[in-house]
Amino acid sequence: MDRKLGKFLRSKRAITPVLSNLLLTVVAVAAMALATTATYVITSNLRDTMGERVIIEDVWFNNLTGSIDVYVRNVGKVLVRVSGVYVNHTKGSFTGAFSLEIGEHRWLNISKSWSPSDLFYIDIVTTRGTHVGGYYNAP
Amino acid sequence: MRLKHDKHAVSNVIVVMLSLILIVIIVTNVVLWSYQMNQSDWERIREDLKITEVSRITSSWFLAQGEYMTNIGSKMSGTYRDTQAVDDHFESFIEGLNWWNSNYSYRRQATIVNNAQSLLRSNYSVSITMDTASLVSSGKVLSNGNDLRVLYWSIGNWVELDREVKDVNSTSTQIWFETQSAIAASGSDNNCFIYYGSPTAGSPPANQSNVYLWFDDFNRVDNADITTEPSYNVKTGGGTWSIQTGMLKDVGAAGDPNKLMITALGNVSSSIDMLVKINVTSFAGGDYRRMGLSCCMDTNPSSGSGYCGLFHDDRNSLDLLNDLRSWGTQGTYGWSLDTWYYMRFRVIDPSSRLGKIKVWQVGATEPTAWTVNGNFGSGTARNWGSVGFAGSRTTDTTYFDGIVIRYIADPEPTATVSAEESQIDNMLDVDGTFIINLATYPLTQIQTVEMQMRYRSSDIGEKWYLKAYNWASSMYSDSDFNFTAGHKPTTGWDYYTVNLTDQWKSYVYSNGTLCVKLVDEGADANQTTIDIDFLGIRVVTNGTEFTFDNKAALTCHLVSLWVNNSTHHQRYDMNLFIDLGQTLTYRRFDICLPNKPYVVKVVTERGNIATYRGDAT
Repeated sequence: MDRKLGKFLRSKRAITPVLSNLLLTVVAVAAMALATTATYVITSNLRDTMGERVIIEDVWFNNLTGSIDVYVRNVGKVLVRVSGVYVNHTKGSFTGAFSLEIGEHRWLNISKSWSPSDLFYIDIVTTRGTHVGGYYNAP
Repeated sequence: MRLKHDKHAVSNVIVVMLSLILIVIIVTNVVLWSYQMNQSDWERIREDLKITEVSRITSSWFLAQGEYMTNIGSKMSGTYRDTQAVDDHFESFIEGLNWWNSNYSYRRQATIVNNAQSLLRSNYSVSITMDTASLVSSGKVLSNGNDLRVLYWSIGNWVELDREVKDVNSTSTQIWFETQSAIAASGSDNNCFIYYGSPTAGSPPANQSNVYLWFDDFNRVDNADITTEPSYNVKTGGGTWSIQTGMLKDVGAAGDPNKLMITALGNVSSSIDMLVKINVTSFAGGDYRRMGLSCCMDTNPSSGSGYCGLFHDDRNSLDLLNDLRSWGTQGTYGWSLDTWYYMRFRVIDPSSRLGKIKVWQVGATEPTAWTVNGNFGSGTARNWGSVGFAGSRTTDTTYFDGIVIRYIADPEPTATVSAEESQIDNMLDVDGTFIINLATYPLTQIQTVEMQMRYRSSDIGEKWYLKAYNWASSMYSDSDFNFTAGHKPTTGWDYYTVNLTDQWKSYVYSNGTLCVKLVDEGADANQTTIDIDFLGIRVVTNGTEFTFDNKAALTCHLVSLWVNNSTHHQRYDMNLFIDLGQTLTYRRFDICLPNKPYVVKVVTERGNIATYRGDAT
């Protein structure tokens, strides 16, 4: 045993292949880990974006408050965060960004004056860029 | 070959392969996710849901469970069972007045209205004023009034009532009689009829003891001491009370108070009106000279003490007295000896210490105003008690006659008569009783009640009316219904439906009973027959019934329900699955439909929205 260890320590030819193989392994593992992680991150975002579905259940031109109240529901398969509202393609003021769990629903109050028979294009935008909207006529 | 011999390269290959496998798995997951979302979108596109009907929840029909009562007219064929379904079976009725006695040609229906905010007791004396002068001159009424009769329609039977007719053959004949049933506050009773037009009529029932709470004309053999009679067996003080030549005679004596009680009436615990004819034949004058009427008598401070309305002191006085406590308002009325007067005395509420008295000469018209309308002084107020006569404390002689005592309500009821009906007039009046199943449809959930009839009539020119019994006013009415103009039939079968609106509570008793009346337009010469194929009632609840039709080959999961109108948007949670191709009725008792126009929307879990528009027309 002692003789074998002494032989290994005295052999100058054995070091290079070991180091090269080790280095190659490290490089291979690092490269594949990076590739796998990148794939995971990229596809996760893609997956979330694909899974977003939001609908507008109701739009109420509220006489009492003078606002436009929109009732939204998350019918998709991921949590969504409503981050913006556009009224007639202009950024509108609303109650603030909020999240909707899967199946969750709530009112979204847009501060926008209106008159009877006014036509509005209301666009709700999520942080992932999903849009849901349509034309709505004030009664 | 080199790789085969390079054992170190194998591990690197394994690392790369494993990593590639991981990447493939991740990408596959995304692809599958994409497929799943596409499938979800595809299913959403394929959903085909419609709201086909939105209405308030109505019950099934509640039907008559017993034979109809024919008040006017008569049944020809069939039974109430024939009116329980729309089919070829029907029950037939024919017009004709429910007439008491064919010897009497005419009648007028009386309506007694209780104007007070409390129950009007039965056996209350009321009077109807009629112009009999014109009826006598046209030969419709005997000049002695013998054919003026008062009839009461009681649970399918005619009951002839005792009545007193005053001033017959005048333009303001008064017919007095007693009510036969209590009348609710602000309610009315129209079951009394005045019949006339019988040239051969004999003596009518006219026992005034059955017309008033108390009546006595003292027309019986003389009796030196009336207290030997059970009805008058208590007197107080020292006077003598006797019956002499058909009158009550009092000769006063020392004693205070000198009273004769009508013991037959016992303790009279309601407001009463006392009327008597009084004639004072000797009157010495002075404080002890007092005669008249008394009520609220008790034993405090001595037997016979009560409220009195009296001739007092001199022949120019008419005073109120609270015996042995206080003299009250002292009025002025000049009266004469040996002259008959009417004296009316009334106490509505003894605790108020207020009283009224009026006097007028027999033969004169009763004055409208009270001679004295005042109080009984500052003495302690009395409670209800005995009633009777008050006599002088000295040897004055007073005659009384024809005492009439009746209950008095404040305000008094009014009694009016309708237009004259002839025996040959044709009418129909049918009542039916229906019971709502309150176990299924509690009163709290009822929004309104509907009545529906399918019928045909032989006279297309005559309207028919469905009415219901108003438990608050104690009479049949349709005044609160959505449609009060009646229904004119065609030549075939017709449907007639009325809605009791939000006033249904006045018509449905607490146990769910609704009494329905079918009447024609009024008396006419045509004797119409009517066939009733169906008659029923149903309730419309506060809840709402939705009908959904899923035409898709997918099961729908409904998660939201919206009911919107111009002023309000209301969302309701729901959790309802509708199988593929299924039509489903969904009831919600917490949803009350607003007035039209409105929009109902339903949202599926996949995000589709179906709408229903309830238009105003």
